[in-house]
Amino acid sequence: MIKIWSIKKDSSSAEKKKSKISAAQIRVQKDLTELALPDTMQMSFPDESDLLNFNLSITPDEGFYRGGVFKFTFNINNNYPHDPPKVRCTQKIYHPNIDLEGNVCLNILREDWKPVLNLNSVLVGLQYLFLEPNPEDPLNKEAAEEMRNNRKNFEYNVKQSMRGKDVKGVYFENVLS
Amino acid sequence: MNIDKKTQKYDRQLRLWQVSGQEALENSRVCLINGTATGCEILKDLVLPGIGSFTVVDGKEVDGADAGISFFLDGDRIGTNRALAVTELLQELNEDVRGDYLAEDPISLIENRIDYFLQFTIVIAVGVPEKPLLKLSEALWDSKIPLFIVRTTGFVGYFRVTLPEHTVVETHPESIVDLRLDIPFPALEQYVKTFDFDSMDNMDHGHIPYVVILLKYLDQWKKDHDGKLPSTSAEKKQFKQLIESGRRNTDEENFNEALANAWRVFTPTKVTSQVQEIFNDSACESITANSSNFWIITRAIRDFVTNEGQGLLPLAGTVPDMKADTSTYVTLQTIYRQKAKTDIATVRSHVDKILSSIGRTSDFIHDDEIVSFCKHAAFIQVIRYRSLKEEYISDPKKSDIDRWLQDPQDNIVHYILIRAIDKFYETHNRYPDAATFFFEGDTEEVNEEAKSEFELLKTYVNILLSDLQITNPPDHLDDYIHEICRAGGSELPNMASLLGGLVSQEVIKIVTRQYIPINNTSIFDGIKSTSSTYIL
Amino acid sequence: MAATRMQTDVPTPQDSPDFSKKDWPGRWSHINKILDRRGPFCDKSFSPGHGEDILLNQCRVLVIGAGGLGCEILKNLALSGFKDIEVIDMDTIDVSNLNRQFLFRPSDVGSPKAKVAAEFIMKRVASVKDKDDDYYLGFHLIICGLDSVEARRWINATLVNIAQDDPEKIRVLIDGGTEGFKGQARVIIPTVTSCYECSLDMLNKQTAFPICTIANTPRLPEHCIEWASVIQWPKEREDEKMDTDDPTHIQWLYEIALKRAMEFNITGVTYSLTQGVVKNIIPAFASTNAIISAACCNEAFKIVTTSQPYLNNYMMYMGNEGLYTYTFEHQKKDDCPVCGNQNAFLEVDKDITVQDFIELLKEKPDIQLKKPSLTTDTNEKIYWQSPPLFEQRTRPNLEKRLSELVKDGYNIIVTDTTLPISLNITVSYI
Repeated sequence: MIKIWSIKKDSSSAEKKKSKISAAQIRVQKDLTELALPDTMQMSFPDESDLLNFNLSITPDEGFYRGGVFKFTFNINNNYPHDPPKVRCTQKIYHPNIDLEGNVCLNILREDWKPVLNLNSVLVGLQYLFLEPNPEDPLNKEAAEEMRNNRKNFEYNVKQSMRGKDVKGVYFENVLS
Repeated sequence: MNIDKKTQKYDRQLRLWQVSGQEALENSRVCLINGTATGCEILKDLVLPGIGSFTVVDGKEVDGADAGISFFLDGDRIGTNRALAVTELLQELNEDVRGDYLAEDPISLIENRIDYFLQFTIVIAVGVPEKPLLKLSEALWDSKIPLFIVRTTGFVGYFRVTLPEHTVVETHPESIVDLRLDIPFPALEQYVKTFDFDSMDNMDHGHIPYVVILLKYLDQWKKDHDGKLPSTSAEKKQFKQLIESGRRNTDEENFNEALANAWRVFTPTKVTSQVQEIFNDSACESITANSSNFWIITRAIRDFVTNEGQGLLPLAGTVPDMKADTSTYVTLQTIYRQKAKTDIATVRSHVDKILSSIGRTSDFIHDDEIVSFCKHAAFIQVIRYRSLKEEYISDPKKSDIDRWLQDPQDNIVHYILIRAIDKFYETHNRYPDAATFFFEGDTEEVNEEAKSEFELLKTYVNILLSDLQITNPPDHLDDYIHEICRAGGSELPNMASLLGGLVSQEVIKIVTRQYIPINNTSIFDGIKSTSSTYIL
Repeated sequence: MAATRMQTDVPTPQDSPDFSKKDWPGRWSHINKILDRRGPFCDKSFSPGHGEDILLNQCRVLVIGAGGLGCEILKNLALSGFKDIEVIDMDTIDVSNLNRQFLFRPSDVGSPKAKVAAEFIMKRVASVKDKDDDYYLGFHLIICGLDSVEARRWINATLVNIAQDDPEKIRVLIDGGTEGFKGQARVIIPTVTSCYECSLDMLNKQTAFPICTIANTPRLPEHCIEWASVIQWPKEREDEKMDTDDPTHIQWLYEIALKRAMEFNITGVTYSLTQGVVKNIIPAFASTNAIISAACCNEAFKIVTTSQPYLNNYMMYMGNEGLYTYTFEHQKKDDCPVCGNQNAFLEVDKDITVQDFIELLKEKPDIQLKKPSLTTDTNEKIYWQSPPLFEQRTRPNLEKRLSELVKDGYNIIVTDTTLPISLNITVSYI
């Protein structure tokens, strides 16, 4: 039995400041400090004291998207890792699994997210999207169709889009560094 | 805005029992005997979700103790009639519910005007002594009106349901999946034939619904195995390997789903023994003009099973979500729904035949009811309760009680004690009420009066035990005798509220005929925070 | 967040404002039978005849949440004799609350819940406070009746954090939750029993659909609704924040979803389903709230009065098929990110550099870390191994004396691949 009655009221109130770091924050801290960030990825923090909101840029060194710099924002809420991070692409790009609004179709960002996954898993997933786009479960249907039916054309379209040119009337952002 | 105020107000509960359940609730007339704290808590949890009306029958004058533990009384009501006082405040909870009261002694009402209670949909009796309770329960039983018997004392709560029969169609199982993969119906077989896996591109191949994958490979399997299904565990493994061999890459989620659902192919679709038992029931066998809709439709479904259904229930017609593109999924869904519709029409014609045989027209039973019935046919429930007379007099569950009582953790001990204090009350017109338990070092004197209260109650416990032919009463009984003497018939607000929740929930299940109610007694132990349900 | 302080002198709505008349003869007679008498199951420390004094004069209770559970909790506590109750909630009243939350009337729609609930019970309101640790230490017991996982994780972590310094600062948390016919009540004794975070994996995962399914292969009405809220809203109403409590917003989503469903021959999109999906509505009714709240208050009563043993530590309730409870001891998780946090106390040379301190953490046999990253408990980075940006930023600190960055007796939060979450090190310089 806990003797709650022996407890003095307002006992020796904090002379020292207790840490105000939430479980989500500590977890993000753990994820960040253990990241194995490859050369193709860079992170930046608009506010370095805020670990829950940051930017990621990916510079693929192989595949269709080689040579481009692709920018994403990460927003993590205080329910992390119960809730997955929210990831958006901030540029208009031509990709079977990223739509023109920047939504990213990556299973672990939604339906398959589990608290045991971490930021590293998400980065690996994003990197994979650029190496091996999946045209079978498309988000940008037109891009996926092109990739399935005419890989050469798709490759050409990717290159065009990365230069900031239009593909079938849609203008994309110049992502060449 | 396209939703009305009522839908808005009841939104959270409509998601549990839908408009049909809410209508049943709104048509119910509930009678509460004794406006105790527990009684009021039950009514509160029924008035808030919107029963049609309630009536409180109580002849007692409010005293200070009543006012102290009930949220629906206060100090100013001391000396007024309890039925009147609580009705006023309960009524305030919901303007859509009509509240009424009868300021009369319920016991004399039961003795002299028992018919009064037959106007209600449901009667809840709180703290009514054994003799009038038996009389009330018999009258309600004969009129097929559900009776809830409720008792709280100290940290113990007890309630019992009596009703000849309760039938449920919408039992709300976790999922209704009826895919018929082991015996696909012709339209489904035809549809599967339209798929040529090899000629599909990767995208289409990755979107073949698992139902089609399973049936396609099953077809192949059957060709190689004299038309038989995989049955041994080696065969099941081989069948899964066959599916695995059709996969184009490890990412194909639809193939993962097919493998995860392969067991559905191996599990024969059939009428479960539980449903078969309902089919065999005499109420299903001999339909008369007095048969309820439940039994008429059950009989029609039985007729369907033995004829058109070829041994199977009507198809539920629901398809779970699965990886597929929209048009394939919708087509598949339509095939199942179409078959379900055909089955429903056939059941409808059986219903009409039965209705005409008992001199009724077909509008006696609505299509909606048949539709819902066909969908839930595999999950229907019939509960036949035991009467209070059986429990108390003609057929007590002696050996069960004896067995349960041997387990010191079992809550049946509370049943013995509650019955014993009822017997005590019958003679002394009060409940045992004294401090009877002391530590050796306690400064309090163990006075003679306390000791005699304990012994007095014990004699009633022993009478009951011998009635129940329990010859070897367990030691822990004494602890509970002390505890119930300590409680002294008191009602604790938390226990009153807890019982209010439990009882109201069962009332809602019975009134809406949705979900599965208890059979027939539940006891909550607020010391250990455990509950048990018994058939007594 | 609104906070309301109340004295439960007047537990019923129609009571006269004359506080001198607060008690009447026999008012506590039921409860006093239990409190004035010893029983065979009560705690050894139980002292007959003192319960009323404990309840009425000594015990301060904080109730968090004034929704379906909160209203029941307030009522039960007041009727059980608790006098000093404070309630906080973060919500305002919606019409759909009225069928479960009886402390509110139609005229209250729109008012902050805590205020109305407390006013209804006692008609006395106190000021809003800032909630620091001392605020929570001012209560003996905290009862949570919340429907938000996030809010419960937060209060749980706060109480565990407070208790970790000093066992005297343990404040019991009683938590209740419901979903339809199911619910649970539990007693959490921070740092002693399993905590809310330990049991997070018992929660049902909220269904999320693949965004490509929503965009291209919808099959369910829910897919169409998500299309409206996840894809179309940001596209068509970019600058507007979606407010799921605004019926015109729900109506808009419903219409978009319905149009899409018709296009794809999908049936089942309704206004109610739209609302349910976008607000993630949990079905509820009065009965389950009453059961769970009463179970919570019963535990509070037993703990405070020691009149009976209390729940150790979890009761699960299921009412959809018959009536079933499962009472068990939920086990504390060693790697729980909140209460499993390991603590260490380290005495180090007052001149030790950060670099040497890190070496020490790697070498010390009872710590043995691989690549530790260090942060102060005020969230200042001391040295981080990754990402490169922070490694570069914090590298100069390696040469500094640790004592320049962390004061004597303060904490360092250490993360490392070998640790489940983190290690809390209190340093002392010699």
